[in-house]
Amino acid sequence: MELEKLKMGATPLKETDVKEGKVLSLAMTPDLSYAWDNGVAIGRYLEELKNGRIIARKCNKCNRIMLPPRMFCELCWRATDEWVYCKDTGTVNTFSICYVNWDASRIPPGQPPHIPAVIHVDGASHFMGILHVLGEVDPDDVKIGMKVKAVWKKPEEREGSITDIMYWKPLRPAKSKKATGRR
Amino acid sequence: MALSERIDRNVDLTHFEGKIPVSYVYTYGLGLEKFFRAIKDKGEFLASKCPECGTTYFPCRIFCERCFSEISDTYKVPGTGRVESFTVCHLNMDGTKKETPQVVGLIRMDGAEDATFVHLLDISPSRASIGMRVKPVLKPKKEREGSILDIISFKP
Amino acid sequence: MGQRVAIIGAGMTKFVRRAQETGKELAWQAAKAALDSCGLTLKDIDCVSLGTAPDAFDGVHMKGEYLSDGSGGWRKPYIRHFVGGGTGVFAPIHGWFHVASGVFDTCLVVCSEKMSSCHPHPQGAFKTIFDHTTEQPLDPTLIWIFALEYNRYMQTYGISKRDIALVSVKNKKNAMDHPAAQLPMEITVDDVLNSELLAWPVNRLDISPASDGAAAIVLAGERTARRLTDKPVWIEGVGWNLDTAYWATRDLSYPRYVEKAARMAYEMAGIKEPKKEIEIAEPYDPFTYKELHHMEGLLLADRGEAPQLLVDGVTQRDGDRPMCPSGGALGVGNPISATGLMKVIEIFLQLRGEAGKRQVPGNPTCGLAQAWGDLMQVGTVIVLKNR
Repeated sequence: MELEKLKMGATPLKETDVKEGKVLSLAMTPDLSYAWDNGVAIGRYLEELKNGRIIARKCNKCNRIMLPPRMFCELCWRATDEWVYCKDTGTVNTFSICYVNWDASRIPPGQPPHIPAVIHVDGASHFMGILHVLGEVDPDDVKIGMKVKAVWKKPEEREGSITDIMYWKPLRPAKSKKATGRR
Repeated sequence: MALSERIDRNVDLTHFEGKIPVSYVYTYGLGLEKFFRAIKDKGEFLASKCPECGTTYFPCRIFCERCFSEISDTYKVPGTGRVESFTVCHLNMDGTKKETPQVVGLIRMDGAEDATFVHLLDISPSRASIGMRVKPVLKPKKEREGSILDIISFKP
Repeated sequence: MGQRVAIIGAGMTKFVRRAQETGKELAWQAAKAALDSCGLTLKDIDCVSLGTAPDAFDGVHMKGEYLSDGSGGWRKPYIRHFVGGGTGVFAPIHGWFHVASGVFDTCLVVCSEKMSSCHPHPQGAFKTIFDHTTEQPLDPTLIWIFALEYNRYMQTYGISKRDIALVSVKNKKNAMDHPAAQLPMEITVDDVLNSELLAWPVNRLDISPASDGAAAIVLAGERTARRLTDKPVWIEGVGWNLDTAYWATRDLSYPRYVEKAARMAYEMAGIKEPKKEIEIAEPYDPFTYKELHHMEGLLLADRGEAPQLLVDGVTQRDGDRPMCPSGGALGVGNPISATGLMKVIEIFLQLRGEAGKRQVPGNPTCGLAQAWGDLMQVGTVIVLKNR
């Protein structure tokens, strides 16, 4: 057999074929709203974020201090043992400079891009990274290995969310003067 | 947390609220395109019959699910049928009570006897019965848009 | 092992951005073509293995049930399974279980995807693969993950974007010879580097498209396969493996889970020196750097060395180690699960000498297809031989 000889299905359409009703279609937006239980480990993690602290969980068998915290160690397959506070400083393991929003809309020209990064938090074990964003830094100055520090919301504005940390900024001021906040 | 402690509303626990932000546009596909065009433009109902095994389908389809043969032809059926089963709904989607109970029927279609079709029955719950003959009621032509709602309901 | 298993037939639809057909109609078109290709009918099929990606793409809850008629599942033992982007190679592995165990003699493997239903694009669905509490509030896009991994890969081995962009040039060009291709193109490295910057280091032409499409293959046990075809292609090794779901805690520069999956498949297939014995491969390439990343995980290149092989032309169709001769996800298109199965079909055709203009020279006897997915932590590998 050869694909070239195959009668191949799939009738290609243009978006306008659908919009202009050349073919029949049905539009629907399901209402999918959820209340996700925090559970024990993430519940405490969020509580502590509200207090302006980052908390991890330690396994006394492999001695890993894990972030985000979890009540069981997936390597040793046993319950974790104790809570450990981390610092609110860390190291950029990798980053991107992102010109699109989550819904694929583009950031308008002149507006600062998102700078997502994997941050290895001081006090957690090597390679315990979390996803967050960088701010107060010119995109051109961001480097892998850069030391960063969390910038928190004011205590009264915190709500027990990962966004209680607004962003992470360079621990040492950048040389460039173009530094901007997120968005 | 004690096992005896009963929480049946999870929003009473610490939780995080969010949405899955999706919207869809479904194309009808090759089979249903023919079916709903015929209703919209001509007020006709199209069924199909497998050329190999003879299985009948309503709405019409482009392939036979039993023997996988291609089905390229359609034929007209009157749209009438017999109630194979029915149920009476008292609640709306959100759990509130309906003002008038709604009868939903499973209808075995005349001319496509292998197929049953689900739609609303325009009849009071006390008069609905299995085996009763029903016929479709269509919207006026200018209001039809090629949708399942072009059929308002089936009535005795 | 109960019995050897061969691929004896294959079929697929075109890969397009938006198809008029429903997901079931696409599944039927591909599955019917696969049966026709080996002269079988649905009656000859003992069981069906369906692979399809998250329900949220098609907007159909319980897609396994929804796609069952188009996949030939009517009144048959039927199973749907799903490991995100890795599904397309996991579906034939599942089919292989069924037949290798000796429980069944034939299995129809179908993968179908209709991503265009998610309108205007699937980003809302992709967002929900991130952790709902610790990540989604940051408004991530799917591209973040790839951009972060891409950057880490470049940094660790000192690789340039210019070298990685060549993957897109090669694969989109290869796709010009694929009759199902959605994005066949002749482009240059500069075209890739100058295309819209989405999330540095990822440009628009670094990314495979969203697609609609379906693919299917027919599996048979040894005796049946020999009776039905002169050119059975044997599934000699399968492997799959999963890394931690805390993706940000992994070494992003090297896909160890792909290596573990590959080692499992190589051991089963008796392959000791993959670089010599795997003559042709279809690593999963939803993003340019992933083809290189995966070549390294598959032990087809030393760590950090894949870009040099690419630059030297080793991975071109006429090179020593052709990669993605089909055109891959970047060129043929990426209807998630169907992409992986398209790759399996490409190796099947190459090993039969039936790949037409895409045929690599030298009568290859052993090839590999690989896919990858979930929250970028699953690797699925299948090794095929023609003797």
